[in-house]
Amino acid sequence: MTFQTAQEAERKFRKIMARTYLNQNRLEDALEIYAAILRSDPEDGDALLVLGNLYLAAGDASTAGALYTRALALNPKDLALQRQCALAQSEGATGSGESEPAGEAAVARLIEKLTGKTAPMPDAELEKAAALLDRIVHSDNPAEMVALHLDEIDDLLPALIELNIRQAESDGRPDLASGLRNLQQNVTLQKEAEKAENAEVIVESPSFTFKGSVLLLTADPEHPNARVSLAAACLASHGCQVTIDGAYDPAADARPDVVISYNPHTQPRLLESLASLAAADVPLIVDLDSDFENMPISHPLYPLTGLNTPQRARAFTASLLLSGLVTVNSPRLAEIIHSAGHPVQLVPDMWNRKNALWTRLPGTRPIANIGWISGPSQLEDLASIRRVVLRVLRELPNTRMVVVGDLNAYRLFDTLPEQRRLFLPAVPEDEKPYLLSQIDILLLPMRNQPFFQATSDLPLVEAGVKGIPWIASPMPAFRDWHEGGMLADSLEEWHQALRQLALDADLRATLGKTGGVAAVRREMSRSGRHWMEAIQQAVSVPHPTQTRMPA
Amino acid sequence: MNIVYVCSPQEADRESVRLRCHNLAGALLASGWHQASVVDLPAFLEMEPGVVALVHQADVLVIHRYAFGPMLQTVQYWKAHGKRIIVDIDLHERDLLARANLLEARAETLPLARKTGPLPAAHALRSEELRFTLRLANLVTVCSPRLADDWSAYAPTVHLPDYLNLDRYLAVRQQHPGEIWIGLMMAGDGRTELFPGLVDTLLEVARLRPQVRVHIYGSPLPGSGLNGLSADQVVLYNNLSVEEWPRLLGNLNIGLAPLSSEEGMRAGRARVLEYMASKVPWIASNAQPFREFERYGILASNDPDTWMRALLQLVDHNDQYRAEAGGEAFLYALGQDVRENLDRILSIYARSLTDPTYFHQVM
Repeated sequence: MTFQTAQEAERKFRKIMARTYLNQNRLEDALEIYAAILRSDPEDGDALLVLGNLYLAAGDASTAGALYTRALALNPKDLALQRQCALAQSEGATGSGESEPAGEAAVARLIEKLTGKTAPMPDAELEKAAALLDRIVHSDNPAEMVALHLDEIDDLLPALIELNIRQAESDGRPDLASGLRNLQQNVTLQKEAEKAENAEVIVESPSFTFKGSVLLLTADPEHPNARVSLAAACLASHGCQVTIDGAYDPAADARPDVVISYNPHTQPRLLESLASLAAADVPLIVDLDSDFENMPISHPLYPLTGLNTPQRARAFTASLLLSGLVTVNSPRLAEIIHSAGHPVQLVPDMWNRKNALWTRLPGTRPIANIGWISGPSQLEDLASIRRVVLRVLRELPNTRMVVVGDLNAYRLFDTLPEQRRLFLPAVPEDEKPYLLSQIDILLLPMRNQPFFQATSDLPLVEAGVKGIPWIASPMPAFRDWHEGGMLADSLEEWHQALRQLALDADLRATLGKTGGVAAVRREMSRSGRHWMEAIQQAVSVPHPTQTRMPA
Repeated sequence: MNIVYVCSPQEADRESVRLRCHNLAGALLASGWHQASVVDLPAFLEMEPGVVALVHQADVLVIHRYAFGPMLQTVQYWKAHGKRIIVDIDLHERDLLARANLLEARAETLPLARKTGPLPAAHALRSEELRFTLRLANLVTVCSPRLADDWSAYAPTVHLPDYLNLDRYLAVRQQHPGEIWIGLMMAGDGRTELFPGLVDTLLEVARLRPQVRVHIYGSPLPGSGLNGLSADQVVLYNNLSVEEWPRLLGNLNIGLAPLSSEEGMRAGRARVLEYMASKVPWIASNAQPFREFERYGILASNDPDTWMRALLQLVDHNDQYRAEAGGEAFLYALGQDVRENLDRILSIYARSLTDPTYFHQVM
């Protein structure tokens, strides 16, 4: 047998094995064989087709199309290839477009996407980390060695931690290994977030010349909510002089350059202040964080903020008319305001990395906490999926139900033993990261009613920051966000998603990481420009006639 | 370690606060190695700036007794900020929940409640709130093994016995030759409980032995009053403060420590320990809190005849019993000074710094 024939025979055998693995749904094993074949023979048509199919299944039509094109060039009359090419084109330019689709790193990413499981640390990385560690330990001046190789240590940090994890496991220290794994995940997440940050082009608007005084009017200036506090922080970071107050007294207070009033219809003094300020030609922005016109009577905040009295309804209308711009936190709410004829700008909700609780590492626990937090999801929403949740809790003993903020909701699970359920009271918003750290799977059921359709995506963003996967009803903002969790419409879908997440810790980790990377773009330092854009618009065009939506 | 004790300022809690908080805080500070402070519960709930600054620097918060009501939200707030939480309980649950006047009708006005917005309609029962708080706690310390049994289902629970500050028991004895003083401290914290017939027994002993003087501290004599005895044979100290009690203890010839109820079975050991530290012979109910001291005094079952015999024995042979009380019993009590046991106390507190051992607890 000639060498070439032996090579062909060996390749044929490997393809048979790979097809067998595919039939057995052993995607990782099949993929590694085809990728290896393609690396050694970039013109292997079978490998190009199979790899293309796998990239297409993972949602990367760009890479799939490139592979099909290469295969088609080798065999232009192949009808199956032509169909696949057309299919990839019809999907559009989705996916990351891998430059080396058969390379180890690309294959690891593809495996992650297909299986939801984190790819194991490549042996090459571990060997490099071990070699570096060895050089440092055996050097005459370890501190100097560390200082000289800081960049390399930084790059190899996940691998160095992996070595420690394996050591801990072999020393019979599963608790230490678990803690190190958490650390490794956080380090990996931070690295991916940094990559995402570097890859994104930050558009710093050249027209952020406004450095004037901004008055934030809110019903409770002593305890402003997160949206107000974050707005104040990011405006201050852009050089504005920010004041938070509950009213404006034209006789006593200095005239601000622009005013943002939060839900002004909720307090008469806020509307009076708006009227005074409008009379003084101060540019006014009204910020709304809910669809008050469609707020259901059963909503706990309805007595305080709903349009349940003629005065409050008039105040709501008046505030919109007085304002030069309305800012909102969800695209659906922006559509509603826009269709009512008011100029509107979307300012998405954000988070602030300076709150150390966001980055505090969670402890390890041997159970999966299924969590629900009161608001925006309500008791009735949780009740609608209660049966499904109980079914999963009963089936899987290593799960626990965590209910935050609503005791009636906690009582929905009274049939569970006390050890399998936990109630935590609500906390101020600054401490919310702590509550999230008690949850491993966040549930966000919501009724398909107009009010809830306008919900902001903030709960998913916050879950992403803490690396928590979520299951949510398909509200428009949740659909737009879609990173780091699963949407569920029917009870069957809720059951399937919850069970899958409860059983698969790797999947939870992967989704959590995805959500974390996405949440970076809503960090205040990146997302705060929306406030500046709103102010810029309000100051330059007091009563614009068009809607501004962010790209 | 920096420890902040959160305690009630109520008069009814004062003795317990001294025993379970001030004693320990004082010993920690005196060691020179640790920081300790005691803050009032209302100021803690109100998040007064001085208290907030103090708590921010603490490693461990010890919440004495009242771990329910608005304390649940406050404990969670501080847990979110990395504090380790120890709940110290020295009362039966029934007693504990019945004493929560301090926490009545405060919740909605407190700073944390104002920040979190209006609460849903349902209110937890106090017992529920207590359990919720215990699930948040890193550790529960209790004054008796029975209380450890009660609470160990909710959090890692450790028996932290009562320890004394012996400096308070070094008062000069008042001499009263020819008289035998029998003392009964009726503080309102469940550490002394009368059983049916005990008062009559005492009065009968006073009748049989004219040299006996029955001293009742802290409460009027219940039941039939003086019952034909002269006023100098029964001495009542109605408004005694807890600070004065140690000074008066040393004047006694016989100390009594009766316990009778389920609540009493959960009491701490301080009462008998105080007698031992003051070299006073004692009779106590044959109850769990006192069994470790069996060899140093008399444990009697709760019936009038047994107590009558024990009392007459101690009255008739008081000099001998006083000599014994000044020996081994006193030496044992010296070893129960809080400063002598600081290492043990710290090792218990240090357990709160490790991760919880119960899977159902809150990280």
